Amino acid sequence: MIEIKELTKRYEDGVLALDHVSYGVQPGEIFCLLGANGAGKTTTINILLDFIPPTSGMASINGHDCNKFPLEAKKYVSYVSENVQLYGMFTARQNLAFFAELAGKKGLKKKDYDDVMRTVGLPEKALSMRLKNFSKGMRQKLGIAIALLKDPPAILMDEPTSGLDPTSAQEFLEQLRRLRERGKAILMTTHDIFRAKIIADRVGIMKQGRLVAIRQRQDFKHADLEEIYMREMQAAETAS
Amino acid sequence: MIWKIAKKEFLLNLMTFKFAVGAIACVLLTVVFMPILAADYRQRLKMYNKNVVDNETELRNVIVYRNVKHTIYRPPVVLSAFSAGLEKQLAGSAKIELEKVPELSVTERGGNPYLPILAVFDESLIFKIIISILALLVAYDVVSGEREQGTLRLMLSDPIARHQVLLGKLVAGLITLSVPVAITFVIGLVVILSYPMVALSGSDWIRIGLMFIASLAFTVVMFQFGLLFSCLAKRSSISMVLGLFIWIVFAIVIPNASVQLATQFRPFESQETQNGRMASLKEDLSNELRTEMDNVKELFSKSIITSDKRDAFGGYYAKRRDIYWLNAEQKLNNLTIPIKLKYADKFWDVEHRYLNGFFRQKHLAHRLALISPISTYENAMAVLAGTDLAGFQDFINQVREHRNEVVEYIRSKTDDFSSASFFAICTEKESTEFTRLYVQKQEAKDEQAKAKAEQALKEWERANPAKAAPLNLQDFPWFKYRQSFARDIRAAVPDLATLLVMNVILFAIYFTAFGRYDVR
Repeated sequence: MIEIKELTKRYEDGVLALDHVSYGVQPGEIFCLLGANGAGKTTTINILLDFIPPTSGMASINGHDCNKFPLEAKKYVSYVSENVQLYGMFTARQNLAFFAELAGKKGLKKKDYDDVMRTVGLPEKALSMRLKNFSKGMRQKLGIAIALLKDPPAILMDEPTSGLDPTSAQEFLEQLRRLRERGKAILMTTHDIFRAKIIADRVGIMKQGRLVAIRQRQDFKHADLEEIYMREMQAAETAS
Repeated sequence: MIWKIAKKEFLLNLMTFKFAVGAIACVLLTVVFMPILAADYRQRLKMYNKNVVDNETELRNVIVYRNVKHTIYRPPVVLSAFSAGLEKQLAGSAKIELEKVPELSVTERGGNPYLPILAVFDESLIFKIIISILALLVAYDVVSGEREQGTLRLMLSDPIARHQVLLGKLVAGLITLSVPVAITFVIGLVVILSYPMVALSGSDWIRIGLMFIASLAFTVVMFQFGLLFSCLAKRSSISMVLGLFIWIVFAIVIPNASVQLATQFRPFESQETQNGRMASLKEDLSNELRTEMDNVKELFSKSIITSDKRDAFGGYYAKRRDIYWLNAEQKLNNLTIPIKLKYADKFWDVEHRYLNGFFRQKHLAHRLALISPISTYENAMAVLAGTDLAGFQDFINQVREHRNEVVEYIRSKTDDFSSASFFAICTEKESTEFTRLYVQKQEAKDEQAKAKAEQALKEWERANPAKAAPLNLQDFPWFKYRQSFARDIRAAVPDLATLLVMNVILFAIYFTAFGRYDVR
């Protein structure tokens, strides 16, 4: 569903943010990208969303080149940012309706909104609350709710658990499981190795623009993912 | 898709504090000042009507043609409440007289008639200050603010093209800002029309319609400047500072700088030089008049009655004189009036040259200031209201034409200013008879003859009393001011086109800028 081939990005200031990175995310799979700040995780998301063009290589969603046919590619993807900041003066329902309509969803009914709120664990009465009164956890959930309403086959998440309290983070993981069950291909960047271990089907470890390792769930299910991460980072350091 | 974005933006704009403050300020200023402007117009209209009536009454009571001196008044412009232009800075009246060709003059309260802003309050001032700043404030965070907030990323993660997002925002800005623009116009009109004596003609309504379009076009230009800065800056605080900076440049720096530059590049003769020319002309005129006076001195010396002070010019016209004096005066007028007319043209030429230099400088300043949408808008509004300089020049040209007609009228009625009717209420025949009887009395040899002659003179005077009947002005060329609607519309086209071109250029620039905008 999400395909990345030999993706390279060199910024105008000469910084190599991505260096021939290749991997894919299949339907019903959660792929977590781990790495330090500046490893190239968000750059990957930015290329997939056509916010920046790649220097070389290709990123595609559902077979559509994100750089050449961005509007086609974006029909199949939804994006949840690190800090979901919607329109504070709008109610949750207005925000949901606006972004869902932008994604081409028409004729949404009250039931659709109620369902999606229930699914993400937000009370129905929150629908009529203004977003400026939402906590960060509630906003993250609403971000997921937007993704659910859009109902695309692929979801990109950029540090979605950052800043969430443990309970909210736990609830968030629940949402991810449900999305996986619904066959979504999820690419999630995170620093949170602990939660990546819980939820990821595969993890990609990035260092200075390179994908230094990809580990399957069976590789880290019963192992210390943090140790694997540190080992791979060290190996990459030695190799370079 | 564009409409969805526009709807969202519009709703968000309506909910902002800045919009509420801006809209309330517009309503308050309109509600407070429009009644004052309407009352002022009513007062000026009343004064104009009174002046016109008084002037006509006075003119209809004139007894001799040399006293045909009247004042022409320019009717106050009802739309001056929307744009005062130069109406209060330039004199709205001109005197018609043989000795002077009318020209524009600056009123005492005028001062610098091209003071760019805050000179006079009118509705366009609300646009130039409040709505233009509101437009910048609505626009400054349209892109950069959404970027900071993170919603721009979320929006652009959907299958929607950037140009659609931008068009949606532009449409929303247009709709949002047309609310205070429309409210200000509607309230202004309601207030104006609620006053008695205020009536709008069909062409006034077309002018108001065009003023509304000009106001919208100007507001959109300012909005698009804000949008451009929002597309160039990553932080909304920077785009706001840029917006306020450009407003100061447009409202204060450019209008003043353009006046300064025009003064440097297109200087014209000083008032002192003009005064010098005038003084020299006056001297020439009095020399020429003196020469002609000398030529007819001999004729006057034949005059036999020298103490007719009461009759002579008590009412600025001669009642009854001896025929020698009458003929001498006729000759004098025949010789001097053409000289006075010639010098009137010369005086006007000097005055006109001076004013022309002033106006050419003003035109240059205006052209330079065209890069400021505020100046362009100000001019467009004044032109459409009929309160611009060209409107006054048109008026004074019509007055000049009228003065020429009056001169020709008097010339035709007075046999080239030489007939007695030009300055006296007696005819040549009467004067001849009067002189004959007077001489007869003076030359009587004895008392009896003298008493008889005196009796004859008294009887003649009783039979021919001095009749100070008003002139018959049935075929007098009365002045009728024609405000040229077509001229005003034609004159407004360049300014309206400039605002339109500004809009197109700005759209092209920020459209390109947003295409490259880094949403990260």
